[in-house]
Amino acid sequence: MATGLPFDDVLAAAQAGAAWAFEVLYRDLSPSVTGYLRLHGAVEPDDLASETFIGVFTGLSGFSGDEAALRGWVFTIAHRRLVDDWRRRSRRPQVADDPGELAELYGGDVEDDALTGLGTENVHRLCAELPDDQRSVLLMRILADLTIEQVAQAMGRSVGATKALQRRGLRTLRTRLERPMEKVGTSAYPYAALQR
Amino acid sequence: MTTAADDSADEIAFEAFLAGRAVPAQADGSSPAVATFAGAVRATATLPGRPNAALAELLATGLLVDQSSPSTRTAPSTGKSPRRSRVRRRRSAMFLPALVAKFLSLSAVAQAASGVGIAVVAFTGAGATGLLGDDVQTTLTSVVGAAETTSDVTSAASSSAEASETAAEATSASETPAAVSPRAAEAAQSDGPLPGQTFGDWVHEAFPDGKADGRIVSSWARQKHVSQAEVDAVEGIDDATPSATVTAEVETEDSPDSTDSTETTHGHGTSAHGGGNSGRGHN
Repeated sequence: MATGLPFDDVLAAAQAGAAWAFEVLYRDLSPSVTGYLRLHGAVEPDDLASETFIGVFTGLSGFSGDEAALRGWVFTIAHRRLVDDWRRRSRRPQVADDPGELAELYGGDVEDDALTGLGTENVHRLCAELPDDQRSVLLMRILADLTIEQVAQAMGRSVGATKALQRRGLRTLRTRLERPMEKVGTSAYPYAALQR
Repeated sequence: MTTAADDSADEIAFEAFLAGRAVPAQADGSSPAVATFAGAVRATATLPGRPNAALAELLATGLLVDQSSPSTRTAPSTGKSPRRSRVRRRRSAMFLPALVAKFLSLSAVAQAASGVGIAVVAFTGAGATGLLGDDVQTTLTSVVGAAETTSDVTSAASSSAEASETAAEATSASETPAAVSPRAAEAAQSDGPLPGQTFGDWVHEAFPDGKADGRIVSSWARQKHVSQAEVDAVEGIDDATPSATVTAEVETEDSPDSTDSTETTHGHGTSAHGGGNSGRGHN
């Protein structure tokens, strides 16, 4: 695990209900889960992530598998929570349009912060332009390191359909990135900085 | 215009990025757009979210503590018992390895002492449940019984009167197992005193209930040439038959020819003789 602790030990303790193990798992998985929900345009990604982890921790005693399987299971729950939230709100994902809120998530060097903030905003915009399924496939692969098979299982799709979704998603991204984006922030082509 | 070759190149670059391999550069030397996008996506997901109150409580307390009034937000919505039972089983399963680990961490002397203690407890437990062999079980029962009697005496030692009563009870209890069985009593009555056995012991053996048959006693007294004084000295025995018979028969020992009804009647006249045993301080 990222924390350096043996995964089996952490899992066994978490399954026994140990708070420290919950903390380890949360710190390890929460950034990617919250990022997944946020890039999907969830209105309250932190709350959705919290609901996801409550479901994970309370149902962890019935889990068996390795670290990758746990990640797949966690993202399955997160994806279902997200879909439920979409249905509840009955509206399309929204772009996080509060740069101030995004900017405060990052700290460090001022120049890096500006580049990251600029990239973050455009990443959100690019994601919002992807169809939901394509976005889910790409984000699960990037953020959770899930295989195509795991993503297919999490989304309830076939492996072939999931591969097709990935292919179309990447094509959409390329198409979108090949044309100049509308002015965002201070750059007409924000990914120029990222492609250095 | 996006071609199939572009799709393939994007997928190769994407998979290389995910696998942590070097991403093949584009013709102009720049990174493929999809790899750049993937890197930017990861850069946005580096910090954990803010847990809500329910999750914060769960992270702080875990599920180990038995909460008498769990929060409705942290309590499972279903509240099904199978999950809790699995947790209990898992906790039980973790108990034994922890115990073993603690034992292994002890020093050699402590381990030996613990081992002896465990063996004693296991042996005592097996004895309490009657799992030991007959001989061992009997020995253990006697030892435990003696220990219990001793503890009874000890606990009653605060009162001398109670202590003496307990001692008396202990004595009588220890004597009870030595009581002769009815068959042995009958055998003793028919066989008479054994060689080396005092007459008094024989009477007690032959009449364990304390009700002696004067005729049998007199008969054996006569056969064994036991004096009247010795017969009278037998303690704790009441004559269940007219003691005159005993007296007469004993008396006839000295004068065998004088055994007649008059003497028997005389004996009846001293029908209190049996009770007189006690009156003579036989008790």
